Amino acid sequence: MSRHLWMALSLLLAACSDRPSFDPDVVKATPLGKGLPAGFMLGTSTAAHQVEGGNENDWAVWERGQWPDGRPHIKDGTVSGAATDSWNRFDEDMRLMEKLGANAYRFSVEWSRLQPTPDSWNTEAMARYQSWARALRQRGITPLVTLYHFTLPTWIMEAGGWESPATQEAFEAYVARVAEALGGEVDWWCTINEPNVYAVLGYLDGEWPPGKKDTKAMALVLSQLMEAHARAARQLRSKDTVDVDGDGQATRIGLAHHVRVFQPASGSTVDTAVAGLTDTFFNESVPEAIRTGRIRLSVPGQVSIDREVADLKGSIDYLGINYYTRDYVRQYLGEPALSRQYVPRGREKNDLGWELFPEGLYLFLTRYAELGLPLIVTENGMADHTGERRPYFLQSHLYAVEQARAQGADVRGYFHWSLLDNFEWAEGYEPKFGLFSVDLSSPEKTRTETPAVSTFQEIARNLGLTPSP
Amino acid sequence: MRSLLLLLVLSTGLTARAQDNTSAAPYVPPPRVLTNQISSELGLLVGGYSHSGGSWDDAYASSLTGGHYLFNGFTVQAGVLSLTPLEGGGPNASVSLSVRLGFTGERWSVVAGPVIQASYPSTPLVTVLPSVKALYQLGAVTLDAGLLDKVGMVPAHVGASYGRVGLAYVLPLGARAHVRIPLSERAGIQVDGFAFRLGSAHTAMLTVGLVGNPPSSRPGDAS
Repeated sequence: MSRHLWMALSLLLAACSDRPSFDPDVVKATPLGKGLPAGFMLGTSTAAHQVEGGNENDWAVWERGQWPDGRPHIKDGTVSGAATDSWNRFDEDMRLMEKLGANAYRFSVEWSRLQPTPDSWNTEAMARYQSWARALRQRGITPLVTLYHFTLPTWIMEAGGWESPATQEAFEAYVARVAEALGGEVDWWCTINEPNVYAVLGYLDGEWPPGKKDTKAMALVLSQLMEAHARAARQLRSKDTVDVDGDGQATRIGLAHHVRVFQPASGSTVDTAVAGLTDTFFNESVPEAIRTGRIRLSVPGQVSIDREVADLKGSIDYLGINYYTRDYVRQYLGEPALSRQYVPRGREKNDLGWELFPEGLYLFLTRYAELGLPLIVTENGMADHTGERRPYFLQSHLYAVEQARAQGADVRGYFHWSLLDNFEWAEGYEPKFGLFSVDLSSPEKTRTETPAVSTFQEIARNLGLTPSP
Repeated sequence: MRSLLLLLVLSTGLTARAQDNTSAAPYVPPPRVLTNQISSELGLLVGGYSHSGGSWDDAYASSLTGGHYLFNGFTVQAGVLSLTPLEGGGPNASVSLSVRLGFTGERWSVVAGPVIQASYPSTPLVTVLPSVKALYQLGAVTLDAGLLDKVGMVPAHVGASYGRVGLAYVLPLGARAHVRIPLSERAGIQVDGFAFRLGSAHTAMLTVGLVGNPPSSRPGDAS
């Protein structure tokens, strides 16, 4: 009797639940790309420090350092070094994009390369970025340029990094110069990449430079990054007045917001409460600040920030979403975040142990659709050293995009992370995120396509794009 | 369901045994604000958190068995709560155990102890939190307050009971209520529910079950 009652209740709740569950057979049978509109941006993402090679910045310094117990800061003991040498192999990388049939490319410009000292400006490097953006456009690939993707010039970090108010002035001046130089080739801008990740990993978990474990500093840095975004947006609107693609708008400004599904580990009140607290801080505070123009950050008993930031409200034309995974959240009072995050045994994971949960992308796209802004998936990918599981990953996440669009979410683009295997920050070179693998030991840094390339090409064809042979 | 039957049998058996004990002088315990009680309830829990675009919610079947026993005022209160998610691929099942010790007088009672929660597969597997509950009788009304009551599920509450009905305010924003529908002098049906909001998190739970009041034994009596 009771078993039947619970089964009936379960079925009733499942029927009422708005949480999706994708059927792999349906995903594989769907002609992905056909449900996307003309003009949808289908591309890949990279970041300067992870692919260019030869950058000297705060991260390069960090990579050479060690933890007090002698372990290197980078798990596999590598340093970014020459990376995939994309600084010198951009033409080759563009051919890979053409092979994919991509019509967009998100890359970042490296502040430390452009301004290695406070009083210098590398016009040669700026000209090279300019030529990249022009060459991309000539090939029908829309450039989307990120201005800050985790790395700082060493002179900025030595002066206090994002904790120092002076960094705001320096960043704004840097953005103004980039906007002036690239404005004639670029309409799509991403001011800051993942401010929440940078603040948490650098200032709360201490796993990234500057290696601090300080909740107050973490909240301060996150608020400073939001202010930096507002300042950057102001400069872009002022200095980039060229409407490159002729759509009537000279700038399309956004930021890339990293989101994670926070699943309460159990039904206990405390697990539910810490999951809610984590979601509010990590997923909600950035879009909420943009929506209201106020930065509100609170960690009970530790820190509370509530301040208005000039020009923050209405500063973006699109919200970039970087989505990878779901975390289970369990209360643990011994951690500064009051919780531990983990993935239970038995779940399908990538090589870094992140759960594969494509439904989460759908949930975030439909959730942020409420903001009333266009959405772009600025990053989504998986570490897969064999490359065999990436095709379904790509399919299932594009399926999530199409499902979200069908529900009314205004999703305008999808950028796969990443074009190439690259330097995955504290994880080093071990994780393989590339649609194209890279033989780092070969002098030519040989690029080889993985099985997901043909999946990407098929989606591109369905979208009306033409992958090159 | 098995635990409900067990509870009925136990309550009835203890009542019958107390009634059969005609040879000895009947033991009349001194009046106290609490009497012995055991209960077993089944119910439904919905918990999650809200955000700008909606909410994340999980539903669970709940089973709660517990009670308190008085040894000449010295009070032992224990409860076991299991939560089983109703949908696969979401949260984990969990079992919580609360053991609280204290003292119950004529007008007041205080018990405190840990709530130990185990959830598999979780990291950490086991968590421990403190729990406390206090009662004070004021005429026909019993006032009560607690922290992480109901085996850790109710964050904090202050309330009052009158007869078979109880109401409470759950901090920071919520309510709790219970009612007992008598079946006999020593057994009844208990309906218990609460709902609250804590930051962006919210939880609501409704349980229905049997409650019984075994008679007190004479202090030091082995039976």
